[in-house]
Amino acid sequence: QHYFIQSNLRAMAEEEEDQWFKRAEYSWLQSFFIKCITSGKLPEHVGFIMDGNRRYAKANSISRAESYVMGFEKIGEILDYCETFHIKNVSVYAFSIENFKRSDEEQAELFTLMFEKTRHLLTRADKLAEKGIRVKVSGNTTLFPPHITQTLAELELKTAQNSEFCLNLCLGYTARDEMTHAVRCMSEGVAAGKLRVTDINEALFGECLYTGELPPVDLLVRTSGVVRLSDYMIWQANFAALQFVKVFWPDFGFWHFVGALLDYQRQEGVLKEHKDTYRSFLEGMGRSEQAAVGHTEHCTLDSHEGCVWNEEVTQASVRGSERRREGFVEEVRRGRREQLQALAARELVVGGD
Amino acid sequence: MIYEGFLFVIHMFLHTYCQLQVVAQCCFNIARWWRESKWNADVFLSHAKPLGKMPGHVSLMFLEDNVPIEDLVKPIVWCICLGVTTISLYDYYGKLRQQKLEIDAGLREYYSDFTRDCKKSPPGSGSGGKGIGGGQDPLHIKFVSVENGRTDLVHAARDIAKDFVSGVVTEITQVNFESYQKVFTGSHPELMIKFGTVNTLAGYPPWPVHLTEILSMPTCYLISPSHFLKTVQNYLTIEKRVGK
Repeated sequence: QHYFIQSNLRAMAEEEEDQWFKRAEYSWLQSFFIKCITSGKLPEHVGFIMDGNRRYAKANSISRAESYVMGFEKIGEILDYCETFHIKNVSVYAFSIENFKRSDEEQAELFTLMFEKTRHLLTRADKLAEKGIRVKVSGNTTLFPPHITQTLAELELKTAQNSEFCLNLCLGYTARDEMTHAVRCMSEGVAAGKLRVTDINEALFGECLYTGELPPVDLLVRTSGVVRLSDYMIWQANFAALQFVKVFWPDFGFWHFVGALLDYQRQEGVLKEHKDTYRSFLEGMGRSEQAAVGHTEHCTLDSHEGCVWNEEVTQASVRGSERRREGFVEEVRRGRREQLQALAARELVVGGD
Repeated sequence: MIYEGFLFVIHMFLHTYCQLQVVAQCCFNIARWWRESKWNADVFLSHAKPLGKMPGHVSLMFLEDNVPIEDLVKPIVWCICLGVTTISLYDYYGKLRQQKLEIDAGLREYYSDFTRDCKKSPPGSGSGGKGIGGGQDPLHIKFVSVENGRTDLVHAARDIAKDFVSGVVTEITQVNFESYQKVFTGSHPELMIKFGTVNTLAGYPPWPVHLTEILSMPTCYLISPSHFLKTVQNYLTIEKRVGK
């Protein structure tokens, strides 16, 4: 009888946990709005700052741990909405570097949840593959206990080939740490002779971020009514629509998401204008910088009499820069894959700074 | 086709709602004008007193087109009177920077009117020093546009990479990377007040706004001091937890 109860409990737990993969059933009104919204322009990448779990727990007289579990389940719900609305990339701010300032007890709760849920997703890798969900982790995961670092690396590797949809978990993350990491990466590249200083541009900077493979954030949603970005994706969301929603994360539902998407669509024209004019500005600046670089590389004379600098020289310089950048980015990505493999195999000594 | 039609209707409704917010704010401001046109700095500060201490650096982001200078200078002067010592003025295309002289003249004129006949000297007033009215507190007004955004970080990355290669810098950290940036040396805006119905950073320099509170007002047109103070009050009641 004890075995029967235990196995039933396990089955119930698994069923509850599989809510993550369950497709929602929509009412006729929800289906109508889905069809309307999907007939318009949709964001390619949505970011979420999942704020308000602890305040939700206090408001609903439940434990903090329960609210964190609900918060995790909410990610599954959001994934389903994004699949419904054909949104291919979702980033969630799951654990900031600043969150290490929380009490040891709270951190322990969060680490336990992180480990259990990651292990569960690993056991359901088949389901993730079926849905084409790739799980990517952005941040300095070596700040976490080794067993969590290893499990996260395993999950990333196991889902790396899935290509329909990307769930980007920001763990051990702040935007400033990410940008500093990118600068460090590029500087080491210059020191190693793989790049020149003049090769560093915005595109390369973006590629060297943890989220380099993902498109820029088009819509950034923060729950709980707080109106700051808390060091989250401030580079990637520099031209994004911002939505500060006054509900706690576990309460964030379909209609809040619809409201955010509609507001994104309302502003999309202006946002596109900003992005287009900025792209033109960057192209113009890039051309004049590259011309100056091309001339400097080509012309070694003290006097410029007889200097044969021309457009061909500039183009050759541009091609050289592009080759170096592409090679460098490929090397950075290869390095990250190798690091993941080493973490997953526990070959790297990990620990916090 | 039918869904696109309905979506168009929903977007028109949303767009109209946003425009109505702007119109409603202008109407309220006009209604308040009778009462508040006589406000000087003393009255303004007496209404502001219960609010608390303002941040040292405030950013005003103008995402509307063609805001009249007489409306644009008002929130700047009010910030100065509230003790803000650094004010960043951001617009996407950098038109404010081109109007620097007119804005400066408008600022001085409005500040002079606003502080006339005041019994107490508000910040920025008095003799000597670098304040707008010749006050003792140094006042910094920066003009920022999208050209100062991510581009500044790229230039800082190049400079630090150069020094890293030459051995001047042996380790790249957040602190020393920040020292290479040129746009916001020293202070970062703790509060950003955005004017306009578009909710975006619009290319604002990303590094300094990592913890900035971002508040919105539908428009800067016909802005009233009481509405401005109400927005500031929202900022001062915010709990700043920073990770905890």
